[in-house]
Amino acid sequence: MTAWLVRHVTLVSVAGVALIALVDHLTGVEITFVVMTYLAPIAAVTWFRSRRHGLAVSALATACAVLIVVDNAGARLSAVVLDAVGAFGMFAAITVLLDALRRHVERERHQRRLAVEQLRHAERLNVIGTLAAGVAHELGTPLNVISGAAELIDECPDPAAREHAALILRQTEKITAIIRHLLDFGRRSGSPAADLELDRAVGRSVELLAATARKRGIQVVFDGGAAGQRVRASSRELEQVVSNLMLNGIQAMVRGGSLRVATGVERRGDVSYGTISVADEGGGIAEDHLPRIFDPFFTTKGVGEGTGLGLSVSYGIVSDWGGRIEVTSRPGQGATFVVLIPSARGSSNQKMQPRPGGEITPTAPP
Amino acid sequence: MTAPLLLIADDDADMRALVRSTLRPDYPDALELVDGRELFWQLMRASFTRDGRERPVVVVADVRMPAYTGLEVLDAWHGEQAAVPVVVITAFPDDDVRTRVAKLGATLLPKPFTRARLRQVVREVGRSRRAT
Repeated sequence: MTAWLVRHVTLVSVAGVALIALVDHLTGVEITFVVMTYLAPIAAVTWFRSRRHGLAVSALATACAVLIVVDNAGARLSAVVLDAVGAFGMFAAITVLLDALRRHVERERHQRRLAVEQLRHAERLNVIGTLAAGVAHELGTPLNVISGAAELIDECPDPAAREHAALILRQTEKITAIIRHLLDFGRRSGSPAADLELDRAVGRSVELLAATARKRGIQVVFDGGAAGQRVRASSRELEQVVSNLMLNGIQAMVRGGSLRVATGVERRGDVSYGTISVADEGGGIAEDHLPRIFDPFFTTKGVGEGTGLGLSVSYGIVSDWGGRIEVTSRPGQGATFVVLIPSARGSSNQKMQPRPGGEITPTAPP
Repeated sequence: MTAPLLLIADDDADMRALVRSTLRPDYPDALELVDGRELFWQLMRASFTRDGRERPVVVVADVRMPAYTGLEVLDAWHGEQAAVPVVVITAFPDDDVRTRVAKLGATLLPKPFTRARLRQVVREVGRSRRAT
């Protein structure tokens, strides 16, 4: 019932106004009271629909009220106009006020939902990190026994046995590498944060990967737009984050193209961030994958190509700095990752500029 | 001169066997210990022999063991007695373990290691202690 009322609130409000007008016309109740009764449908339609609908119903209510005044009293035109302006003014003021209130509530609710979602995500990563570290520790000994035994087999003269031993050794090395990744994910307190010059730090990582990109027919374009901007981060981990994002971009661009890396400065609320954006021209990320791309072990790459830990490790690193990673993507049009890192204190913020809004969606699923 | 006694402390039997067989050429005498408590008592016994002579000991110890961890044992031992050559073997050590091992004057060998690496590290530890 309530849902139906909300869905058809405009219709119900118009019917309400008509009903009040009719009752008033038949009974001739005092005008102030009638004008007050119009507020209920106007408020309802403003709250549940929008300011436009509210104003339209306000106009209708004003018209009804005026017609009744004219009809009942045969009043002078100037008085009628004055009444109409007064009534509509009150209706409009209420409408505007309610609408502002509604927007505010909606914004708050949206922000709270995002915060809860981010918290939940961080918590999930945390649990998985702890679990991963525990499992990794337990695996160390058996892994060592296996590789040790394989080394022993490798010493025997039979070439076939040695070949198999080599195979076992190669595989244990692969497992070791995966576990190292896992642990990087589980404990990220490794390197201390320092004040870094954003452009220089990112530029270094870009240089490191430019050659790899060229080999695949990809041109890396670096646009350092955060001159003088300093962020609080660890240079080794920042390099890890940037090269992770760039590698993902490079691997996504199977047909070549250009990979754009840019830095900038952005203010969100009271916090100033240094930003790094990495935009590729690959196939983009499927919509149902978007909420999961930061989850550990989530990967769309082929077996052996990726462990599915790169993005979740990056996400963990950046959250440790008090920042975050956001992503936008449309399938077929590439993906853009934006890393936000809180500015270091005393950083020059003259170049502060708002980014064109609306195109970056939060990482957390709605 | 007899080769030092090798104490191998790890709760995994296969791991002990691997260490033992790897180091047999250098250390024919070895004792396998399954937890921290045994490691502690064997360290005691080795340093107070009945005839008053000390037999040199080399320890290869895991960190995560039942009763006491390898680090707890070494910590307790470190305060009381002269330095014993110790190689701590542990899976994927974090920074905390690294600093604790360094503070105890022991050598860290992360699992998984190759047999050649184990042989080399234990040899280096044994040699440096004998020289001092």
